[in-house]
Amino acid sequence: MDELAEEKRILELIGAGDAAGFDLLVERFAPRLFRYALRMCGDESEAEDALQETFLTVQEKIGQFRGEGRLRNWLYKITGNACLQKHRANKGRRVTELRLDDIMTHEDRITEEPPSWRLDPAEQALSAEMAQRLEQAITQIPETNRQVLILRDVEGLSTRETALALDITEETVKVRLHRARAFVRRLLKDYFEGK
Amino acid sequence: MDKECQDLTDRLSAYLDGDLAGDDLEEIIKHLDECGCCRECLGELRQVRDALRKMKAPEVPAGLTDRLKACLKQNRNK
Repeated sequence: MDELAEEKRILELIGAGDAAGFDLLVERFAPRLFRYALRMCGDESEAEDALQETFLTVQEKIGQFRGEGRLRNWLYKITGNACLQKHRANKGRRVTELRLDDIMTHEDRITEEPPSWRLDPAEQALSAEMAQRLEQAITQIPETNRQVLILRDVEGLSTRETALALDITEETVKVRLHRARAFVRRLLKDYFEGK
Repeated sequence: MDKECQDLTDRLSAYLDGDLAGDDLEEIIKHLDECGCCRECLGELRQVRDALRKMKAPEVPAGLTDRLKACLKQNRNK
């Protein structure tokens, strides 16, 4: 059964009051939502708490899902909100967003010829060290940019799907994604250069 | 990085993803043709994007789905 058909089946079961619908919903979506939450929260226990909040919210508000978009995108939206709320509650910090200045290194500002990256990133991406560096870099991206980067580059949503999941415009998705990638590029510059 | 680069930099990833059209696309193609700095930056962004796409999915804790199902069941029976 493809993903769309499965979403439809889940909604039919839940609509009919069949508890199996929620079991199926959890089985189908919990693993991927957990991975999203883990990368948003940076902590396994916090991610599981956020996921529990997510599914309780879904149970309460599933009647409000109008079926105009994908159930998957709606679930990403609720999970993202749960993670941001946890972040605010636990860290007492405001949610931040990258500015242009944040992604420009000092060298970017003063030279027209930044150094080349020497190693093949396709190979690096397969190494444990590279994966660890990337995971660490993701946790350092401000939350609003991090959400977009995870949904677009890690989870594979399209620009439009990401915009719908986050209630932002496609233009905002493009800008936030670019700044998040540029931020990661800056953080890993030394590594890519083989220093 | 000059003023034109700064004005266009936020569109580099959209160009990389094939998410630009019309005047925006033409403008950035023209700029990339002339600017080695932005071409370099584009290459690095491609490397970052491709590496992110190859990341392995982290492991899901054992028993996660069972705990979530139990939580929903408990909430249903309240």
